[in-house]
Amino acid sequence: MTGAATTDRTGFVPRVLAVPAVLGLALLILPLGALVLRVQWSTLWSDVTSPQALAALGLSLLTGAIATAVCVVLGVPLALLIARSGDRAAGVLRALVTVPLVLPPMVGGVAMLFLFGRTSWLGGALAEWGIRIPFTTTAVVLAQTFVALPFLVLALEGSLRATGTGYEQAAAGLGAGRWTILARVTLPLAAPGLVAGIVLCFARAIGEFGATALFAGNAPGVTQTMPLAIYTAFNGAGVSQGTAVALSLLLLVTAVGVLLLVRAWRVETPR
Amino acid sequence: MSRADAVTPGTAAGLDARVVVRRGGFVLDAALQVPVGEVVALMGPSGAGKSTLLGVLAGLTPFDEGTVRLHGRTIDEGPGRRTPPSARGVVLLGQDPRLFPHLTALENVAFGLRVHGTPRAAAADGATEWLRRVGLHDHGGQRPARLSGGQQQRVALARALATAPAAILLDEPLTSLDTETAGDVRALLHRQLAETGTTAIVATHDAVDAVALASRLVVLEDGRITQSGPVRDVLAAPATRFVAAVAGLNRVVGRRDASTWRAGSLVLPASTRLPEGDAAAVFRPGDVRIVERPSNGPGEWEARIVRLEQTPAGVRVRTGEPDVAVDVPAGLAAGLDAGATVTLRIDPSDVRFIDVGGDRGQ
Repeated sequence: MTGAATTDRTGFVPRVLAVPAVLGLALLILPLGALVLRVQWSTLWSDVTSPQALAALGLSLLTGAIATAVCVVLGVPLALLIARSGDRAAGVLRALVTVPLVLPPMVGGVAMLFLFGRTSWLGGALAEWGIRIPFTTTAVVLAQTFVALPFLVLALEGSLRATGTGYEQAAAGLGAGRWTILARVTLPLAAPGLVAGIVLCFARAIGEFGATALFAGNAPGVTQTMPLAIYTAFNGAGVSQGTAVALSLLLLVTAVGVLLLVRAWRVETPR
Repeated sequence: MSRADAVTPGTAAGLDARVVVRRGGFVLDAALQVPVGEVVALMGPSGAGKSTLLGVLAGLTPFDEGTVRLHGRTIDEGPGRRTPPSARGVVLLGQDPRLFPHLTALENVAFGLRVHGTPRAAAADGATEWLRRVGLHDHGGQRPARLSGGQQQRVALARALATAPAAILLDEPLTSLDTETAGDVRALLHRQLAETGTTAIVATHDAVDAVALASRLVVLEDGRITQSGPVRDVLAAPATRFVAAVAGLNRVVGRRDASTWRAGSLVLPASTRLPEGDAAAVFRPGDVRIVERPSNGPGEWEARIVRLEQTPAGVRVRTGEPDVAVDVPAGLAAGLDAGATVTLRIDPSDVRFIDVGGDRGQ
């Protein structure tokens, strides 16, 4: 940092801001480093390949994937609706979508329990059809969808709004119908927002703990996802913390793996 | 939105529209005809409603009243019965070419062909041919961001014409291009519109575009059509100050009596064959001279300089009462200042008189 030269890339940001920036990075990275330091390498392999760990990982990936798919199916139309609404309506809709983000996930879990529980009108009606949702794998997916959907909607909506409708108008003038415009113009142009939304959505889904714990419970193989397994291992009587640390590392590696996978895919399809 | 595409037998081909748009205090009320295969230039000051009118014709802008017929087909009948943009066959090409950034130039041109059901290979062939026609056959694999502004506008033109549109609407397509590039694209536009016989409207600020591209000129001012006709006829006989400015002419409204025409201190002999009343004198700024020694002959008057504008060839002197522009070569402009009084002379044979309908005048 000797010369006073700036480039197009560096711009004119005050240099002293590097200090809080590095502190922020440290706050994000150091705890993970501490986690890795506590790993008991001798028992790591047996810990992460134990039937319970593998069941939890499998359940997490499965429910996370389904929840992300549900988020795409419901969230893309919702994002389109908000992006193409007037300013006032969009503001209201955006606020509604943001509520699950500011709510403690546990509150969401309680609320879902009230909606789908036997005592509610919906839960009662479903029970008459023989459908029970709380404390099932379906409940896990619902809880994950509840907390993850806002991430996808907000990321995609921002992207859609920024792109505007000019290209859609051009496509319509050339004779393209609404579905063609959606598939070949609108969504490809919003791809950066969509990909970012899907990544955030999936990450939030597999990390989900609070709503799942209350709404789906902690039954191994059925509703015990990785975060619940880690919590159980950490709190479990007579169980060493080694298992919890090993499972945490497994979740960390899985999450980073998914991020790298998406990133690789992004590089292949530049805008 | 329902589709109103009933064929009206006997209706002349081409574009025939009457459109009313009310937006706050602004009212656009315009009727416009474009004969089939012809190009009409649409000129008007900023905010006159040109883009609004084109937006309505493209089916993108709502309107309050009106009917739009295209080649005998009624595509709009009132705001409730409108054909959606995708079913009109009308392509709007604006200042921003709006090339799809995620597709290559070739894919952009092929897009319109593909949505009309052309098989992939045939669409690629057609798009290649169109890129060749606009001189960009070796740029087909590039994305729009890698192309210059002029190249993007050429691709947009190829993309529009490839779909064989029933009409094409060009909204100031050359405004954002530099002079030389604009000239190239203008020539290309003229050639391709003529070759394809496409019915077209070109909204423009530039009389050069109107003369080069269009057979007829329609002038839209403050939501209303103030003059229309063959391009050169309109430019030669400006009915409003705006058209005079576009044509590069002075247009001074004055009063004619028995044998003279006068506006402020400017008095000119006028033919006695014309009726008395208001008339506009039309003459070129370059035909006015600043005279050193007044002779008090016909066509001389004293005028106060309001301001000086530098031009590439010299100085344009604006005078008041009446408002007249005088072009002075650079060498003769020394000593001229705003506020000074000069004597001007115009040869009466360089002046044409135009009747002024009503008090529309200035």
